[in-house]
Amino acid sequence: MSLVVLGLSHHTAPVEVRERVAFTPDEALATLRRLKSEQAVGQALLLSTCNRTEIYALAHEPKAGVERLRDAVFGGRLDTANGLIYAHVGELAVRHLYRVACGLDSMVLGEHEILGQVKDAYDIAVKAESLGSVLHRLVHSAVHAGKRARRDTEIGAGAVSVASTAVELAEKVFGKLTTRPALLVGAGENGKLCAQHLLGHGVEPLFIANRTLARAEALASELGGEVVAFDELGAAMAKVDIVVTTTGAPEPILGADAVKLAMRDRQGRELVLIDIAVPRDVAPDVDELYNVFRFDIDALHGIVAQNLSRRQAEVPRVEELVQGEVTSFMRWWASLDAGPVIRDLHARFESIRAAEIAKHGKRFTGDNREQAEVFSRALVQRLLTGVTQEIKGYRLDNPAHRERLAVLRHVFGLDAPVAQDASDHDDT
Amino acid sequence: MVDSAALTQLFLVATPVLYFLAVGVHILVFASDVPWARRLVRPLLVSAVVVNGAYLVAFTAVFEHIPLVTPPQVVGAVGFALAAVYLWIESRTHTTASGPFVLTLVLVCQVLNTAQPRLDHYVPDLLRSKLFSVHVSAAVLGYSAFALAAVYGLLYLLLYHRMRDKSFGLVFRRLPPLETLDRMNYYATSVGFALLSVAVAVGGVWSVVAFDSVRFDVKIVTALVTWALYGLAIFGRRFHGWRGTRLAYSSLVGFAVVLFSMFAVNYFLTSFHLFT
Repeated sequence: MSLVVLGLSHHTAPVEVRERVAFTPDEALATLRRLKSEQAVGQALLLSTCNRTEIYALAHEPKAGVERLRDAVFGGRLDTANGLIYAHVGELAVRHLYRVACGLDSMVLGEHEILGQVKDAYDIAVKAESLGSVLHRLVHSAVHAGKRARRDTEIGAGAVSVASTAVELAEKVFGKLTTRPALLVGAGENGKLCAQHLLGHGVEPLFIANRTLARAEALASELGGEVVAFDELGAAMAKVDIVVTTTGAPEPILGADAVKLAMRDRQGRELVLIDIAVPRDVAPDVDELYNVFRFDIDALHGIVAQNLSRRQAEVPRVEELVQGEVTSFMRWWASLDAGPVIRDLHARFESIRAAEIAKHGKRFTGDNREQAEVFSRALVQRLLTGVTQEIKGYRLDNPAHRERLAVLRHVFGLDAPVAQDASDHDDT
Repeated sequence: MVDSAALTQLFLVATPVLYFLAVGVHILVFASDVPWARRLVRPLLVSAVVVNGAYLVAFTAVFEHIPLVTPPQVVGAVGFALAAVYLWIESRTHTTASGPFVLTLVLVCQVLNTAQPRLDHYVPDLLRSKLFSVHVSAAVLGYSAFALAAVYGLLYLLLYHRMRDKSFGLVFRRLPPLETLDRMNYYATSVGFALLSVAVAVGGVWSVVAFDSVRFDVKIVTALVTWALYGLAIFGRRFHGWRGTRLAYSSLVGFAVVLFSMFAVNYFLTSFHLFT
């Protein structure tokens, strides 16, 4: 059995192709059930996010498995011969999942969402009963590696989007944002995104002001905020701790005088002004005011660039971590390969022994029969001890070991019915 | 048989060495988050605090009094209390960001103590009173709290100015939020103020018991100035919203006066107080 992964991602396919092969949870569940019922492959896992769709499966013959999966998963959705689909087999496939879980293969290096998406894919596969011990173990250890990468390195450190940087800056001043009031000035897409991030971090209540009242009301109803009149920004600033401005005004809408008045009403409490508008909404002279933190779009982009380069610098450390995890997984998997052969071998010899005793049963009576049982069992054990010791350490990644295990199976007929109890780890 | 006095001496010398190593790994973790240094942070700090504590216990057992007689000994005790409190905070918060700053102060305290040791049985009769023990213990703990407040104040100012200058380097990445630093500063200042109040009150009572009157010296005057400064900072915070940079500067000025009363005054006095 080999692990194969077949898929496409933002590295190989544009969004108009990716959206055609994106699976909803229900579609993923149905696909996995179909693969299982058709016995197309052994265990299978389908990972589908906005940036990738990948099928991981165990196949007896990797080449045939890849072809079967190509048709079964991607056929009908796109032309599978377009060269956008990649495939990895064996250790490369294992490494691929670890790299995906660690965020090394993501569009935004080190992003966190992929870990949750791998877990979701796992849950769907569990529901479809398409996993066996190998993929169970693989997904668990990949998620574990992803967590380790983010804990032990800075691959996921710092904000890498304008909206999350706004949250990071506010948190650097206030700590947790839970129940901190905020004001969004402007009803554009960027502002909305920022507001959503702030709400996601517990900001409450959210006030929204816009020159066109109807747009403010629509956004307030969508996000669950409260509308304030545009000409009452000063009074609103006195009530909130965070202000996000994103209007299309040609001149600053907040100057030092207005902010100074608000600060007086705030009794000097810290105020964070996130200005993501161009031209800027907040005049730079606001910087002179005590306890006022003004950040414009350049400052936010500067942080994003800095964080991305920090993440990039962590890649070698994460690759090293992935290598360790891959080695450890492959060793575990290889130990499974010798295990079933050993079990099958013992089962085969035991069945022969029992058959021979039964066949010659009439020759034994009373104590003799008991002694024959004891003797024959001891003989079988003795005969198998050397072989068992020899193959116990055989590993899948060693071609010679793999070949010898195959010979043993063939010579002793271990693929015959007697071996059926030993195959549970490979096929589901 | 182990020579107890030699063992005490060994602990005395090992203490600053271990703190030096602890400061080193904390700086490495702060600057570049080196994994091997991160693994050493806790064991080294725990070792330093344990050996420091062992020195105090050994000294007390061998010389039959707590090492709080000479100014360097008091400074060493302040350093120990500061390190122990910092270790507790580090264990609770799982963040080592303020370690380089707090532990550097601890290291300075321990170097001063080790450089001027007095390993003997001598204790002035005046200092054998129980009231005096309470006075010194409260003062040592209070000064430790003020030292901690000053460090948090310094960190607050560092981060505040970095953010205002839009400079998002190491200080921005590693330090806790301004709000947290401000809160820690306020807690430390409040605890220090309460302890200094106890030290001043008990010291006054002890002075009356020992001399029938309160004897004012430079030390007592600076202690009262310190007490008034911190009291003003707490009052301002509670009733006039003095927070952030104002509290941070108050902590630094207050601690500067504490340092003056601990070190500079010793140019005028041979002990912590003028007893004759």
